[in-house]
Amino acid sequence: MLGKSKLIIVFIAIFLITGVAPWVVSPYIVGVITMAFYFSVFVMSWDLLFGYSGEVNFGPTFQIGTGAYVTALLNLNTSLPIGICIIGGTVASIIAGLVLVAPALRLRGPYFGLITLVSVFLLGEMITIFAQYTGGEIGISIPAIITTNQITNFYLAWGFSAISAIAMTIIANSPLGLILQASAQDPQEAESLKFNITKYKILAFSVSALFSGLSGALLVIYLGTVSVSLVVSIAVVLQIIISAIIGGRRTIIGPVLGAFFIILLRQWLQPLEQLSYAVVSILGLIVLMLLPDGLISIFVGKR
Amino acid sequence: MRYLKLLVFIVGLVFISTSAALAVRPINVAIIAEEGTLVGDAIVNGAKLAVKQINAKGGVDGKPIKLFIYDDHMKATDAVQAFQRAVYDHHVVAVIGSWISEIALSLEPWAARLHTIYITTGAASPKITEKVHKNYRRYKYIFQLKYNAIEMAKTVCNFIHDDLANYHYKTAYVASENAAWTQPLDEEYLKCLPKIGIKVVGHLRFSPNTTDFTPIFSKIKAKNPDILITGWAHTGLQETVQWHEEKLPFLIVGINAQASTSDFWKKSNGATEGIITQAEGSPAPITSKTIPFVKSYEKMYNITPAYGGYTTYDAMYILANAIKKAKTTNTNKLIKALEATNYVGVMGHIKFYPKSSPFAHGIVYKKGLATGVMLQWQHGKLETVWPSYAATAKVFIPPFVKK
Amino acid sequence: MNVLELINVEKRFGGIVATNNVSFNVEENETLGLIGPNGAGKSTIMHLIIGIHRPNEGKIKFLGEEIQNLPIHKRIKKGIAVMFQHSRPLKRQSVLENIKVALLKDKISIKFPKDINKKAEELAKKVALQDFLNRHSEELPFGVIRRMELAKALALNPKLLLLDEPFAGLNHSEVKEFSEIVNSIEKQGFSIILIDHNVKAVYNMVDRMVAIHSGKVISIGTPSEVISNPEVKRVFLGEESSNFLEKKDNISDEEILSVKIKSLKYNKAEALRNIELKVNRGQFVSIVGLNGAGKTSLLKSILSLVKYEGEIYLEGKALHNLKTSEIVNLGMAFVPETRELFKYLSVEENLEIPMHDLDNKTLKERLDEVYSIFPKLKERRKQMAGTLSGGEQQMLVIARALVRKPKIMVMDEPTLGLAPIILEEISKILDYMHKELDLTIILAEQNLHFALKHSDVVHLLEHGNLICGCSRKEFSEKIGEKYLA
Repeated sequence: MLGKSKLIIVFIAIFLITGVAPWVVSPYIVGVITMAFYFSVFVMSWDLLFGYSGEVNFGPTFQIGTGAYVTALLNLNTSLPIGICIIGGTVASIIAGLVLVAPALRLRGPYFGLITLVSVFLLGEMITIFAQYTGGEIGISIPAIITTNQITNFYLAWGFSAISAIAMTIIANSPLGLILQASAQDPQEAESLKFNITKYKILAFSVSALFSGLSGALLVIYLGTVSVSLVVSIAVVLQIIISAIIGGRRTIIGPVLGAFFIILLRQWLQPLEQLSYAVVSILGLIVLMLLPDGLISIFVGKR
Repeated sequence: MRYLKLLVFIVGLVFISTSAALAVRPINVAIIAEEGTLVGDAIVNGAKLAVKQINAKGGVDGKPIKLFIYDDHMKATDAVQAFQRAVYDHHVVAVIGSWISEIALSLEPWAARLHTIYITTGAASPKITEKVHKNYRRYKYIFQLKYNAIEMAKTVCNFIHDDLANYHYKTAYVASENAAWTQPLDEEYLKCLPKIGIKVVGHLRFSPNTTDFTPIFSKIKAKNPDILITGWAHTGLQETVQWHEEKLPFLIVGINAQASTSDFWKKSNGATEGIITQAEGSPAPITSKTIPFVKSYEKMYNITPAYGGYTTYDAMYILANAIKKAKTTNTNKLIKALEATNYVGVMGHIKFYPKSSPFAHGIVYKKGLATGVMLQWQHGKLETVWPSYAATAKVFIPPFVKK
Repeated sequence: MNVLELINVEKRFGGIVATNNVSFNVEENETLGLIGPNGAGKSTIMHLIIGIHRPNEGKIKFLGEEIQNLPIHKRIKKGIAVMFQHSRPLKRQSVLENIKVALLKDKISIKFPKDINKKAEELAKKVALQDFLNRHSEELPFGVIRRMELAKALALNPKLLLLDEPFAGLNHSEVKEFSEIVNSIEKQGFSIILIDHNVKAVYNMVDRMVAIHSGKVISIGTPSEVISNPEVKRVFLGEESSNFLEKKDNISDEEILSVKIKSLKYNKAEALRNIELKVNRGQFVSIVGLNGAGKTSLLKSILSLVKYEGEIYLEGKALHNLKTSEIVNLGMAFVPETRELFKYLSVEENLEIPMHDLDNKTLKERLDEVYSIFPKLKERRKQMAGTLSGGEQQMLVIARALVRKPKIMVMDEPTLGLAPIILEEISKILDYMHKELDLTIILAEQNLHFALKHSDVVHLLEHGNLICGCSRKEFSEKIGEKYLA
């Protein structure tokens, strides 16, 4: 209980501190933080699905990428209003999430993980094969723009991330979250406590896909471009997983910390070019050795 | 204590990331390019050479130009990030570069958002200027210092009409790599070739990641064309080598971007003998500035410039002139000055199309102003074969190609 | 009225019949004991009742309604609850929260019902958990966890409660505590099925018993009726003593192995305490005991596979500071319960691996030797080990241990899950090894009958203590009855 109230304090602190960023840091860093907010939602959604529902998901970008690309392609090829494109992308992302429910009910642990990994490769391949529509490896530009104002964009991402964090924290600590954790621990036992776990798996995948897909859609609209390296590639998957682990799994708020840590660190290490990936990974490992429960444990203690 | 640590951590990060943004006196210009690619490197080299020359002569009204060079790793997202960084952290007057249309198109909304001039010196998609034409108020920041794909196709057709008439070629096969810029290119090929009496016997597009061209060539051979018309930028080397080794009996004419620079002979081990490609410039008397430019460039980089070198070199001078004329770096005034460009550069006499043109802010393509050139590899040398006033040699047909 | 009724239920896994024409019923307010040795089919029956498996034939009726085709959660909603033997509670949640999970409705909801904490606390009280409410399940002893699991089952407000081996792994006082709780809840108006392999443990707690063996019901009735049934006696106690194999006459009195274990602990649970075991050269020593009594732990200690406090000497040489590999090199061979074969290697390759350091000639000789003992393995020497039958795999494991020409053979439950006819074959092999090869054999067995048949000395291991250490005749007279009831 004590841990939970501390988590809430950390949550409020993160969003208050970041909330003043546009008046403190350079506009470029504001842009970087804007992206970090969207990225933090990817990490939170992953944490909800893996940390709470126990689904070994090595392919969060399958949902994210589907949401992002469908939004982009709708916007590029139709005259639908931007809101509809975003909704369309999010729905596509949820469908992508539901596609994984069937294997998730049959396979466990690393076997399911493999399926999710394959789904990411498959999506990447499709994008490359249909390069005339998707722009292939390079990516495509998206004409739609919500707003050109950097500060508005920042607060849009800020608010979206905060609302997602609140929503997911509520879910994680609700009866629903408890049942999800019970089915993760032992599906048969959970079912023997009268829970129809199929229903809960469907829900967990939908919720995770809803947030990550929506975040992917908003991110690419903000950037005005979508590419494999932004929302699909395995490097993104790794970044999401590393962020969650560094931040502190199964806390929802920990992943937000982790996301910021990774994105800002990479920004700071940008002069190192390609080497920065390696340095980030090594620093991540060091953090993990010193704080096995993630950065969040600095604030809430060992769990 | 723990909270204090976090605060120190955040403040530290913020400090480090903002410290680069100190106000500077020179005129900052950003180059976003694909380092490690032929054209991308030429863009960077062309810019550096121009800046070196301009600054040696006292800069722009006494202010030196300072270049900020970003590698986008051929990723639209990296380019977008670089664009933001250039504007926010380095306060650049303009961003120049990228030869990939997808990337240029992704940068356009950011040029509009951040009210920053963006001149692409390599991307050929006509969609780039179409945006300026359709929504001038929003996209007036964008210029295309490069013939667009439609004009490139026209150059190829004009060349075939002017220089290959004697050989009575009748049929052609169009094969381009699949990318944003080759769509309008192919469309224009299919339109202009019949007009000059060449029948298109086949058309195919292949992935830029293709590594095995055997199935593609066997399709082409089946149609037995006289000429293979190309749109190649990511690819080119492998097709060229295979064509040479199998002694395929058709002439290769079109865009083969990698073949437009001197080291392609070595790279292809001489297989490029006879290849004909369009380019924005060449070591030929296109204007009086061209040959001196190529000489300085070669001296500095040990290679002749790929097309991005010509365009970016000119872009840098055009920008410097515009700043001189506008006497300010105010964006709106600078745009006006750029629109009024009337400058003889290394690639020709450059003017921009007005906003009423569908190619608004693209280079005016016209005989007497600027048209680009056609080059051919002959005996290890890259000769200019078209237009006649700039030609350094006559077209030559490789022995295994039908005449 | 019948709460539960099984009518001619049959379940097959591939070609194996796990339950064969099983019929029994559970009446209202009745506590029924479902007993049978390991592998008899008890768990299968439990799984069939709650829906983890569905029967191939027959019907299962709950309160008069057929349920055999319903999924688990629907059966639970009708009023069946189960307490699993191996439960996996939520580790990072408190006891209270674990109980709360069971109290939740199968409904997607963001808010907890208002009175859920009160209800959970009441349930906790029923199973004497009130002092552990805010503790995390990770840090609690087994007995407390078991009670928490019981509270979870009770939270479902069942009409029929299945308790799966509720006493397994508990120590003496915990067993007592738990039986008292079960006794107290028995009076609350629902039926219970108590599943256990230990007749003794449930004898006094049940109204009726169903005895299972090899997937078949062999006896139904009051506890005393079932216990006196000759077939039940045979299954649980073993054959008449006339079936004992002939005793070996030439056992030396030279001590080869001496074991003194003060204590062996897994976390906080003490698995063994004050064990003293002496084995003479050429002797066949059996250690019998129920599941969870500590047999495997004892064997593993001898091979240094687990950490323990104590001293073990082989021919006067101290083993307690040696690594397993060193002990094996001193002439100790281990036949683990889990077999640990290389499933994708052939029979011959499996045999060759332990002989990797021998020259080709010796290797050939050794192979021929074991093939002469196990002609079946010779026939199948090219076959993948994973495709052998259970009995053949067991032979392969024994053969693999033999090729190193050990002094002592330590065997853990070689009979587990094998059909009677195969037991006969294994039995002959053990006898041959014992008498012809003059091997010293230490056998841990649950199958008392099988152990008694061979042994020179039999020890009973109960709750971590070694009892008796007497000849087989003495054992069956003194301990045998106790072991059963």
